[in-house]
Amino acid sequence: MNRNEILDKVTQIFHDVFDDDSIVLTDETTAKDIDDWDSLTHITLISEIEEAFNMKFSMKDVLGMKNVGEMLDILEQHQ
Amino acid sequence: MTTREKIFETIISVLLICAMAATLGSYTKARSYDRDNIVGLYAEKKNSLDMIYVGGSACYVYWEALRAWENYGYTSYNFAANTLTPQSIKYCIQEALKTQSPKLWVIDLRPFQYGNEKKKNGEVLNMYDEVAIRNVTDNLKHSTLRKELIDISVPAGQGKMEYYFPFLKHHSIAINNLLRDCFHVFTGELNFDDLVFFGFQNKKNTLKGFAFINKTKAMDFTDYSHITETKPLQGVINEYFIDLLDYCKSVSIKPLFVVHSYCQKEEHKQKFNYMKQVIESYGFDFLNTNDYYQEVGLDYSFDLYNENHVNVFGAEKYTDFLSAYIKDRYEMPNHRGDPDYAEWDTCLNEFNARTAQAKREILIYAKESNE
Amino acid sequence: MCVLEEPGFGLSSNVWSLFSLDFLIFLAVSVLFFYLLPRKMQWIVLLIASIIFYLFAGTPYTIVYLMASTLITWKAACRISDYREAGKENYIIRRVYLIALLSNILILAALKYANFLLGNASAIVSFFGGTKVEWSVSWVAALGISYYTLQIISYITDCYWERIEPQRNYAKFALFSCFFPQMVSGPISRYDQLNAQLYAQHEFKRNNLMCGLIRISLGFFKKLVIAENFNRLAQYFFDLENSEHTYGIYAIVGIGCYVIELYGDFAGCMDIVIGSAKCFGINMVENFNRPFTSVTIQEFWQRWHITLGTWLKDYIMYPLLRSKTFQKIGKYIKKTHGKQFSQKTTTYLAMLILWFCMGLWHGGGWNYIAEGIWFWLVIVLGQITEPFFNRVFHAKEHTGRLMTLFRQTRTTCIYAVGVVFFRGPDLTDAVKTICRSLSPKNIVNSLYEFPHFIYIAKDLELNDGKLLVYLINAFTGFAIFILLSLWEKKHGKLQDTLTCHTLILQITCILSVLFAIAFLGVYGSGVKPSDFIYGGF
Repeated sequence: MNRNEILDKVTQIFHDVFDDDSIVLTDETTAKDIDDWDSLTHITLISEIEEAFNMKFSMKDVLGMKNVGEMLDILEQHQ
Repeated sequence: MTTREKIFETIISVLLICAMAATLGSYTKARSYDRDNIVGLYAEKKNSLDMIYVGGSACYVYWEALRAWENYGYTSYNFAANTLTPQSIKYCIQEALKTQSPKLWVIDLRPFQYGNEKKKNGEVLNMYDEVAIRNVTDNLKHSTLRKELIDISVPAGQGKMEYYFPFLKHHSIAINNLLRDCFHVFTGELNFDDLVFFGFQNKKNTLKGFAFINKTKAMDFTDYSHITETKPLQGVINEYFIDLLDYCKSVSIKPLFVVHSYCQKEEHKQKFNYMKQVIESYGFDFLNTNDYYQEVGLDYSFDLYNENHVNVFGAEKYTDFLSAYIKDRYEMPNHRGDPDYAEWDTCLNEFNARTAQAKREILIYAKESNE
Repeated sequence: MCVLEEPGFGLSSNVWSLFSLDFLIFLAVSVLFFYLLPRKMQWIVLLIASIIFYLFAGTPYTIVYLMASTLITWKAACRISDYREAGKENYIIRRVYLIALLSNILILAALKYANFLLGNASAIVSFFGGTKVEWSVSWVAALGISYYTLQIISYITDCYWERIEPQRNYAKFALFSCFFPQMVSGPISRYDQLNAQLYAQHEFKRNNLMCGLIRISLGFFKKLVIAENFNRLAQYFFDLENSEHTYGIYAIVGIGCYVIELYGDFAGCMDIVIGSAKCFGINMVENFNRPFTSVTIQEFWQRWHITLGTWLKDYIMYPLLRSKTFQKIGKYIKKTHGKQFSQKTTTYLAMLILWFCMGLWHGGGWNYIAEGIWFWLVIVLGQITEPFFNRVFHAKEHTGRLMTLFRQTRTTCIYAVGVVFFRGPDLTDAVKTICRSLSPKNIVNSLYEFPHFIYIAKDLELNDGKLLVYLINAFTGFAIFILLSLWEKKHGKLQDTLTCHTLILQITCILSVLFAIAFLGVYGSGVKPSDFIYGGF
């Protein structure tokens, strides 16, 4: 998968978790930009993405991710 | 920042700092007779007083300076505070001498009688009682004299900082007092310029140190003028007594030592006899007005408020007696008609109005008590 | 009145308590040495100062516990890194991590929770055994053990998760663990946030020093004016000796005063801590951020004692939710009840453990644990009922000022109930107090009496007979604080905005704060300062 495909799939997961189809993600998107993206939904997101991409984030990744761009970088690495 | 802004900030800052320092340095305790009496002396015109009467409540509830003015035209002032400690008298005289040079000093001897007695309901001697000490020291201006007085008055083991800087002790009640005063200005009880900001306003005492008592209580009087036994003062208080006399001698003051008219006890009379002996040995004058109770003419069933204090009726009689005695004995000047002393006439009007008011209140009070 | 005792001016007589003049002198001397000595030695100055502080602020011999924790952790972190490089198996690396982790937890448990555990054990034994036993120990707790232990655990865990490189120099690591401003009451710092600043070379910047001093003076204001005055009021309304008479509106007002006291105390302490660090040019993490503007209790705990909340989230909740056990539980529930339910249940379960730990961290007592459980309950109920409120009341759409105010008040009240548990002194007392305050009959009775109570307040005996005075000073101080808060909301923090202004204005600002403290603060000979609430942990 290339980066754009990964982004699409991740966006779909966001739509599901937040029940909001209007969300648009960029590399700079952070938790502040999306309502309801708090520490609890963060974990849900992480689980969903792990399941969808069949990989596991390390704790370092989970705590260290600053924005969607970094998340995509990690996903690319795990391809 | 532009230079102009910097200069502006600097000026504002310096002003603020000065204002804060002045407030902290001169903040004293709340409005009281003591503060008004002590602070009021500094506001009197320099060298305008012919007589200064130093003492405790036996002084400021008794001597009506404005009545003496009305009767004989000489000026006087009660430089007094409640339960004045005996050791304070010397320092009060020294402090007053900075701005006044009266012809006559009158000194109340009661402090030497109650000084080494225990405070009511307390364990502390009157002369070491914090409240008594502070009635004077909190209100005097900062000076080495004040510091000395604090040093000798405060018992060992107690912190002196809170005496040197009264705001350390009274700080928590400051806002409370300010709000209460503002409320009284709002209701008209106080004038706006009665609000003392920053402490450096020396408020003029228009009653010249007198306090009105507007109640009455029937008391008993026993005449001990025939008692001649003496009971010497013991210990430290005697040292203060002798020290005061030595001081007066050293600055060539010849005071009149007075005992006020009250329900004197036999033991008190004996103490005063001792004091009379010593005072006269120095060549100073002594007068126990209780020995002249008929001339003073107090009606002990009406003119008193309690054992130790008269009300306005009693104060009037006492002042009439003592002011005449002083006029005869000391050739006091007469300033009535002198334009330099015009404000005394203004104060007299206010004084007379308030006296009449107080007398009315006493009569109402007496009527209600009898019903 | 005539109190024959050493004039301590009402500031803490505990040597090196943060609110003492001694601490200020100590800080001044440290700052002096810090900038006078060569910059290479600055971190050594901090280390020596921290050791001296620890020896004098707590019981000296307890430094051995600190040394034990730091030595074990430092060695373990280095070893983990070495083993990783050497390619050793995961289970070996994990074993090293677990040994370090458990050692720290055990030391903390032994020193802090021994009596709690023994008390529970003896209760159980007494119940089943028939004879009453009461086991207890009287060990002296190490200063700041609850804070530095969490900080050390965060370090070793971050090393294990490869988030940070271990510190190879023991002395430098020791400095991170015992940096003196944070020893008494936090904040709980992270290694990656603090290490660069601690070991760096700091040039003297006047702004840093002035910022720090302004912050410290504000801290003293919060403690001496707000916390102390409200402490006296809370004591009166909520007098534990007369606890039978404290009911209805009196208890509610008392708790309100106690909440304000808590804030003044803790936030004031934080100001002094962060201000002190700022004097060295070190920026510490904030622990408070306008907590009473929170609209939900979750948000409250992101604004109150921030570092504890983030620590628990990062090192308890996330690891739990991602642990194999929880994944298994989640999968099992997903099979029977569906994905959404499974996610919610695992989250709530992890939160329960988190809040249990939060409560327990505050102290070894069931009332503390109850406090944690209370907040958990409120959050879970809030989440469960959220869809209902959205459907019926369209709650989400109401965002006006009045609604916000309602939510903020509601959050504060929820927090206040938690504080009743926190105050204790034990669980039964806390529950009784809540019942006594909130019973409708009590509220009505007390409301009826209250105006009369206020009328006679000026004559009421409160220690020194000054209830009305404390009331006035408390509210004046509170008003000043609120005004300053509103101003800061618009213009930014006071110490930051002042950096663009002249030095003399900065000095005048500090003097003005001291002036306000002079007239509104509770101090003087014969004044016993209230114990610093968060310092006993």
